[in-house]
Amino acid sequence: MIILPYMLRPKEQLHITEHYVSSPPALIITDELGDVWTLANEPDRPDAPRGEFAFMVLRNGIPTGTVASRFERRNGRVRAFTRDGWKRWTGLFFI
Amino acid sequence: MSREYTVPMSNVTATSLANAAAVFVNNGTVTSLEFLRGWLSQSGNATSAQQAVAWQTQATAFPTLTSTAPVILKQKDPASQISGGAAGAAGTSGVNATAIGAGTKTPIFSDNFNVLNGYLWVPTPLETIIYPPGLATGLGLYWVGAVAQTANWSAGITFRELG
Repeated sequence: MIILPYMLRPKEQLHITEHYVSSPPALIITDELGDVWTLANEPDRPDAPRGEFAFMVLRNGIPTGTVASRFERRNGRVRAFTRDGWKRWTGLFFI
Repeated sequence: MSREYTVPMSNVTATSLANAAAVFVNNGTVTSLEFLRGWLSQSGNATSAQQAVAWQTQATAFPTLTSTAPVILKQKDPASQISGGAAGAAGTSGVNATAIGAGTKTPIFSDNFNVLNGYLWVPTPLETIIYPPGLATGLGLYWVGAVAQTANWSAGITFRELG
């Protein structure tokens, strides 16, 4: 897995991504804690939602263990669309 | 799957030209290319602003670029058939156009994004752009409007070689 600079937590981040922003088409989503959420660059995951490409969801460039085709920040929570449907971030993992 | 490559542009001062290629790939004569992903972002501007972007084909005359060779994603794969090139010629790739080139540009996907959030294009499998060998045009990710704040831009295109 190649970790690109934009996937990492920046030294200073003043911008918190607005609610209802989804990636894609946004490249990064930054939450209230300053954590940067991105999708890894690995197409053809076998555990993708049907009919879509999916990628490992990264938090500050570290895999969360969840593969999703997209994710969004909604009502202060990050949630990801997986083969099993929408999952939300608890602070430790997606359920 | 294998033989996937990325043409990266990392933390550069973007051109201030309108309709300039951020990343440009011109296929050669060997295999087809399937374009899987493209992105743009910047870290030089902390103020919300919109930027127009488009996937476009361009015929000769091609843009003048900073030569950038594709990077292997799967580390055991062979090097790409595409090599770095500054002239946008067939079989080459480059980034951050310094001259846009007079060739006709044809938009495929046009969009706009907030520079604070960046832009990521990921198609569904049926929407991938497939470029057969020997075409007279190249394909790129373009800033459609001139970039207002040019500092610290990054971008990239991921493609797969078929056949």
